[in-house]
Amino acid sequence: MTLAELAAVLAAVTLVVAGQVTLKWGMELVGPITGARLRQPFGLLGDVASHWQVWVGSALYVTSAAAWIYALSTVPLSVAYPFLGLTYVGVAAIAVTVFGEWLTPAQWIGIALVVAGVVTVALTAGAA
Amino acid sequence: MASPIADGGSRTVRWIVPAYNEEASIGDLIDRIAEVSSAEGWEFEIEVIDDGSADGTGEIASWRAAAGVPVRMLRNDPNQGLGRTIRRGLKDAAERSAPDDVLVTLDADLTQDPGYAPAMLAKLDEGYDVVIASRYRAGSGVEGLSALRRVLSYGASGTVALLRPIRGVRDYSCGFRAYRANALREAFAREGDDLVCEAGFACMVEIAERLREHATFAEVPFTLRYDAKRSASTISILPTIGAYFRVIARVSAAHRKPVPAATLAVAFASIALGASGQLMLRQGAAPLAGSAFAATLADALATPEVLGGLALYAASSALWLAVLSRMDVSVAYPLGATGYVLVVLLAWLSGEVVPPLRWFGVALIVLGVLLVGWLGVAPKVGAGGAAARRAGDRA
Repeated sequence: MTLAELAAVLAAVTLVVAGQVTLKWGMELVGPITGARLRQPFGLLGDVASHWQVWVGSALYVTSAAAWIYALSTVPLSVAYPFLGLTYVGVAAIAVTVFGEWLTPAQWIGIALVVAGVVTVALTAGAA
Repeated sequence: MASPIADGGSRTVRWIVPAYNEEASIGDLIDRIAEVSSAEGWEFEIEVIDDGSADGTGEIASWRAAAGVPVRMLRNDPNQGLGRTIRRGLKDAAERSAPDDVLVTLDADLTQDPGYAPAMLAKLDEGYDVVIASRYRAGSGVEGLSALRRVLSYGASGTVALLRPIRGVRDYSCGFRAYRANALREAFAREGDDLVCEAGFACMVEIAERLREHATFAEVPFTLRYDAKRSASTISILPTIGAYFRVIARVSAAHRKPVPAATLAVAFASIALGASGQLMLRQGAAPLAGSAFAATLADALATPEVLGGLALYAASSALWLAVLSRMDVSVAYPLGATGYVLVVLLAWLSGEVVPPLRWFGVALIVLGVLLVGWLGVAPKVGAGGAAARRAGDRA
């Protein structure tokens, strides 16, 4: 795995997490989508579109897909895909730092295992 | 609502003392409770639940009642064990309580000094529902217990803390606790007599476990005075530790949201579509290797496999979003983890060389994801939640 390949994979993973969190932020501002709101589809779409977080989140998703396709052009799938395990680490990190949630000791161990697993997978793809 | 203390002692402190063959201690304990309560100016009541004692426990407590100490006597006949005894006491006291009353449970053997109760109530007034006198805080201690038993009990609490931690709790098994009466009333309304199923000492772990989603917990340091004990010990450590595991497994399973088969089927479909999509993306993108980023992307968007892969990816994401809210993390995370195995398996079947070490790495990731979602303990909102709300009510 070259440094450029590693960078592309990590960029895709980071962008996915950023996109998820931003989109979730936007959709929480939109509020619960009830049956009544679904009967007014244009009003609902207008609500959704009125939040910049929705646009930024979607853009991050699209960018992440682009980085992912670029990474997959040279990185084998069995190497690249396990890196997505890092999304759990990213979501947990944001939950802890931004939202003040807390993790159990078992969850910290789990996160360490995910990181160790990703490093192991990367090592089997040759030195960076 | 104003603070109960500022109301001039409108609340009653209800002491709940399960006692089995404690004639050597019960009299002194009642006197000590009365001394502490009077010094604090509390309205109080001491509820002694005599668990079918064969000695003079009941008589001694009755003499104190006759002498004017506010003692309420309940008696189990025959002996029922700590779990049912504490349940009877909690239920009886909770039913007779005003919402702001406080229930304090403690052992009858003088190992737990009632003198810690003022600190426990002060903590309760910070907005917590349960305050535990903890053996595992800075300033805590244990007197008169062998090193082996201390290590065993520390290990038992540590194991519970690792498997099912509750914010603010280190001592899961200590029976010296203060509860807001309302928290227990709500718990009995919710769980009925199932609030305490365990017959033995593990009932303390069980009560904490059943309150975990609904109550806020805090601790104050305390020193367990085993050297003050005058009766023989009735606890056997190893079976009790076994019971801790049983309690945790049973209660966490009972509180888990069941997942309908249709939801599971959609989740699996999402995973299968996602994995197929990934394989198509790779097969579409691989021939483009070596070009610059922009050129690769432009070519990729003209490649049917890449477009198909993206479509499958979008479909998979939509299905996943549709079912995610209907699954606990304890279900969703393990399902998500199977995706890693499936994708690497598909890659291998399509001709990629997957060395054993890479499989090992994937196994680590899967195990890690399982642990993160383990036993359904989602990352929890901080202690701010219920406690802050309640503090807000008071202000």
